[in-house]
Amino acid sequence: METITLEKYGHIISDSSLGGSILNDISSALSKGKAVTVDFQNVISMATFCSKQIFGSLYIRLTPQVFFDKIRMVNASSDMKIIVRLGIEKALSDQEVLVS
Amino acid sequence: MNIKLPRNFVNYNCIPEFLSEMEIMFKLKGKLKPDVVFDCTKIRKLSSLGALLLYKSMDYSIHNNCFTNPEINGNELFLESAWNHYGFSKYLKGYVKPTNSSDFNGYLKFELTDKFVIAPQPLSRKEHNQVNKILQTKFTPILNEFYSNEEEAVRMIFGCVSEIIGNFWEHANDDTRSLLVAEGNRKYIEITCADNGKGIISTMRNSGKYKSSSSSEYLLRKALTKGVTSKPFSSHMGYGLWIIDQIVSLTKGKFFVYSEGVYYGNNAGKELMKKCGFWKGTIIYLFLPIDNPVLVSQVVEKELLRKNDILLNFG
Repeated sequence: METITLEKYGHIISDSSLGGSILNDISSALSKGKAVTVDFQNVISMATFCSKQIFGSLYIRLTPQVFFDKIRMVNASSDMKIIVRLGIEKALSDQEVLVS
Repeated sequence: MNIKLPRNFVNYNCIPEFLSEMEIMFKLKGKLKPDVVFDCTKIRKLSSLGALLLYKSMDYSIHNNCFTNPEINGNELFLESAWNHYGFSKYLKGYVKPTNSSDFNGYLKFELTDKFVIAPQPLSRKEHNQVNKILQTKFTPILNEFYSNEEEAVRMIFGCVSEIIGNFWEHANDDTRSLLVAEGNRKYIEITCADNGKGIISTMRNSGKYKSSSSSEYLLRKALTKGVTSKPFSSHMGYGLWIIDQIVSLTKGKFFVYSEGVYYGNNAGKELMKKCGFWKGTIIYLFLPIDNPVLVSQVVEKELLRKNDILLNFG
């Protein structure tokens, strides 16, 4: 199990470069076969597009079951939980449009 | 030629007047028109918004050779203290030529208040790390200190700032000189951003999704519509401006977007769309009351349609 502490990247996750770094680090840990804990402690805000960039793309790539098994999110405020869900929903919507 | 700056250069009310004076500048690109004066003699109040718009106009005119040696005419003491207060002195160094104007109306003191001011911050797309640093080192400590007992207010502000920055990067990708300023007190915060990039209207028009005959008003309205993005199937969701607009309606704040001859306004939930003087790029003005903050999540929660279908491990 590897822990990715979002605070390390910033209290505000608001740009795509930062989102890209977080996505890469999570992907890198997953590629070693590890499960990942994403720690939201002290994250004040996350832009909706960063949520889609990170969690939406992982959800699509990993599939729902693997995402659930491999990615544990801790210390996420109710605010952050909703933003993560929105990012995933919108990535799923994009995928459905592309498939159809 | 005198470009007259508004008497009360402080908020959204003055922007249409400012834009109608300033639009000539965009027609003079490369013309090096001589004898141009930025006439600041009437200015009695100047906020971070006024300082930003005046600076961005001078910056555009110089980088695009609109005028030959333009001058700023006005109460130098007042203007200098305003530039200092709002953090524009270093940006204006080399731009402002001292004048010996006799138009001073006595000593006009620039009043300092209990407000906090966040000096101009560049929002360059090429400097992501810099922007992150700005948010962490400039915004976070100031806002946490000022609103120490208002955790939700700080979250609301950062939620909006995050979406604004994302939006500017989407639309201003050919401008590396976007700036953001903010000021506020215990009751409200005002945030203004301005760039001379492509602008929302041009970005929407060039996206290929709309008829070439679409009006600018229609395109601006579309840009504020939920789920509309000029970059579909990217990480962009087209939620940024819509989220801010919703938060402003719920908090009775103010949200104004000016781009390329049109503007949208939301004043405490009352919306308007009008023509205005041309501004190359985009200006965004946001006024958020701090009482009863509304979080981004409160706005987007009702957008979640598959809550039960998506299992997440928040263990």
